[in-house]
Amino acid sequence: MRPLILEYKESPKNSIFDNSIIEYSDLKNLSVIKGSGDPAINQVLMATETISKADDEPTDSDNDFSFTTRSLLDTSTETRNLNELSDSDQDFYSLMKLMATETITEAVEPTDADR
Amino acid sequence: MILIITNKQDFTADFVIDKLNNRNIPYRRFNCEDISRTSYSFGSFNEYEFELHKITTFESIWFRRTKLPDIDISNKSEKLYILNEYQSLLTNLFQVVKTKKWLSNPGDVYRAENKLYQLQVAAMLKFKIPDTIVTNNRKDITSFYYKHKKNIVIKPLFFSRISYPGKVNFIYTNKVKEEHITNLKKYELTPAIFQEYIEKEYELRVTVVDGEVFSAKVDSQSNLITQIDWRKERLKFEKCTIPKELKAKCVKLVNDLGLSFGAIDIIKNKDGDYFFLEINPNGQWAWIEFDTGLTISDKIIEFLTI
Repeated sequence: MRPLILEYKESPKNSIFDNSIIEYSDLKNLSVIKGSGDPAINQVLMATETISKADDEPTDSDNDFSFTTRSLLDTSTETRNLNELSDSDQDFYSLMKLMATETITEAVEPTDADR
Repeated sequence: MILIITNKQDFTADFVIDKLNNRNIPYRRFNCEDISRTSYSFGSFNEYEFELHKITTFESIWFRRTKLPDIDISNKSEKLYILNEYQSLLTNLFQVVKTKKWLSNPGDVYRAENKLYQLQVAAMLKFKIPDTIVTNNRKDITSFYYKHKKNIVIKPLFFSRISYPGKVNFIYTNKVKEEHITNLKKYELTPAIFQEYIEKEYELRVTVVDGEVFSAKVDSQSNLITQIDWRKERLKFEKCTIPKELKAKCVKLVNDLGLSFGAIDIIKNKDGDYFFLEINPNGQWAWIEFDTGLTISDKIIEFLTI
């Protein structure tokens, strides 16, 4: 008999994070952007600050800038949007995917990754 | 010296470590998957104290994640044996490593990750909890379904992730479909949590660090996809305030579970009542700090350094 709970499984909307743009730095003890050596996490923060500024502006939802930055944060954005982004945006996008991975792990928050 | 126990994919740890780097606060990051090439020793020569990174006593330890090393052994049985030995080494390390304080002690974290235990402790603290049943009795599930007017949810007891070769699936919280109740005898009732569905005004994630409470809410009802489970889309969280009594209960829950940190999921229903869903003893929080500006990382650093 099929377990009932399996009737409720679903594929993630988010594509799996492409970690090819980052590498672990033994010097800084954290993941950094390949080439620049900047902490990957800072890039996410910068993207978020941009969003916050856009959010504070009394503009409507049609505002191009706001829309674009929102889409960078939107972890559910599909692959087609990824292909339309510029290289630097793609970096941001991928990093947001990284955070999406974190978000996904909220569904899997147990401490032990191997259990 | 602070010790951070984690793995290389822990970007929440990266977030704090970047701040530690910028503030020149000394620490050691121990990525568990690197244990085979990390200096460690234990024995009579140092009076049975565990030495990691040449250090035997840490001021504080932040326990985040574990991960087993990548072992290059082709025989699966032998590989499993060695991995189990590494797992035991980590478990032993957590038990004997010397520190003044943990955020949080691994033994307490693992115990608190049991959802039924969480519900038990939350109930003792008089949290409102959605009517809940965990059973393999079909009649009881059917009765529970109709008792709540066909409005119940099903969610995993522990794991939400199913890993297939080359892909993953997730099981979120879902409303139980009537067709499944009607045909319940065709299904096996494996472990799962069934709860009454609470009509929500919004949802909260309350993060507690060493007694300090950081509350954020998300309007999960504005999006059809996230009405049952907010994790299905990336929604923006915002800072919010919660009643004093609820705040106190959240702190007590974390304390009673023996934790220094907890990320608590709560529903506010349309009558203004707050319902406890679960606590994540090692939950994620960086995205909340990004969204809301709540200074969770600073509080963690304060705990680890003072």
